[in-house]
Amino acid sequence: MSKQDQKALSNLYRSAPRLDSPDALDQRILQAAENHAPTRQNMIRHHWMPIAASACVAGIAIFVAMPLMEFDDHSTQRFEVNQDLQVETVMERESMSDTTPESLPAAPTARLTTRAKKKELNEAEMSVTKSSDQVSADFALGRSVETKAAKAASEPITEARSSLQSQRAASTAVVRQGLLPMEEIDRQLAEIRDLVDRQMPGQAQKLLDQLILRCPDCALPAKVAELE
Amino acid sequence: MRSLIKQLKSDESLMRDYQRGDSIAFDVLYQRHKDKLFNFIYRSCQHSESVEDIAHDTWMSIIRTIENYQQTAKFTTYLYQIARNKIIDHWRQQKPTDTTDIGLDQIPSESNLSRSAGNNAEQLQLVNQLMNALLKLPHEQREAFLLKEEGFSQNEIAEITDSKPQAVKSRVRYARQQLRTLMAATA
Repeated sequence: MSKQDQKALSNLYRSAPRLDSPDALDQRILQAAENHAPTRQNMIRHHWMPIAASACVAGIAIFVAMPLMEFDDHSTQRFEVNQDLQVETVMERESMSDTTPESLPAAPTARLTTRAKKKELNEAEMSVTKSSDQVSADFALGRSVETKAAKAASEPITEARSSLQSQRAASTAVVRQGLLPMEEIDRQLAEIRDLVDRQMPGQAQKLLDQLILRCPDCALPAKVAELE
Repeated sequence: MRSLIKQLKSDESLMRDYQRGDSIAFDVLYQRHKDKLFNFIYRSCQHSESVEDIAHDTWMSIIRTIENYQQTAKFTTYLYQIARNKIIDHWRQQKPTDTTDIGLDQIPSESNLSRSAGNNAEQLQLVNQLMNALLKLPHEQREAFLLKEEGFSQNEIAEITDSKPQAVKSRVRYARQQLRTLMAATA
């Protein structure tokens, strides 16, 4: 069948009279559609429930994935450590092969490559050492700065502490002086002299000792003889 | 104004609106497709008295299952798929009967099919012949031809009829050949 005939057949079909849907049927269907229209509750069910469900799923996925990610970090660290160890092992092997050339005679080209590798590794190590030295120097500088700052911060505190101590000593002296005033010392000394006059040196010495004990800061004679 | 805005919306968007409880959206959707669907059912079905029932059942099926509607394909594909199922159910319920041919004075040949478009009386006769020939087509060929003429693509017809696109292509081709033969035979 040619394209022209196909087109003619289509045109013939489309030119056929078309029936309209009966009004009674339209009214019945539209009425039913209004009666069966989903309520707001259903709307919540259809609109918000999928959102809430997907949010829950996402939350659970994150909850599950987070520990795994941490585990991955640890594993990469381990891998890095392993890599370092491998590099060290390779270096050891290289050094061994260099130190024992008799036992393992290597081809000149292989030896050259080994040396080149060793040189590269040494350079890498040097750079690492340099960087580590620099880091330690920086660390030391940081610590000194920190100490200085701490000192500067503690100076006023020590000054305050020393002034407090001197004040406490002065107050103690005042208290001691208060406990044993000069009149009392004079009176005691007069009593001791009286005892000495009455030929009672033992009691005089005892009283003097008590006085010395009670007033250690005073410049009292140590013995009754000196008092005489 | 609200109805005017809705008329600019796509079928799928209107279905979503109706799903949210907007019955005006369904009104617009129904007005858009009711006549085309009614004609499809009318031309597919051999018993014209059942056309209204099938159309009613189709739309009611859409209304009842609106809560479970999910946009997986075009709305028209969904609508005609339901209509097709309803037509098949109807055929299963009723035994097919012989359709009476419309008496035709002139039966066109393949070549005068396109030439005879100018005359109105002739054209009406040709249309009647075509409609009679349509009813004599096998069910698969008829539905493929009708859906094709309703403007569906090969893939869409395949989706509606649950068959492969290649099968649809052959069914449409055979339907056209069969129509020509039937119209020529009645000439």
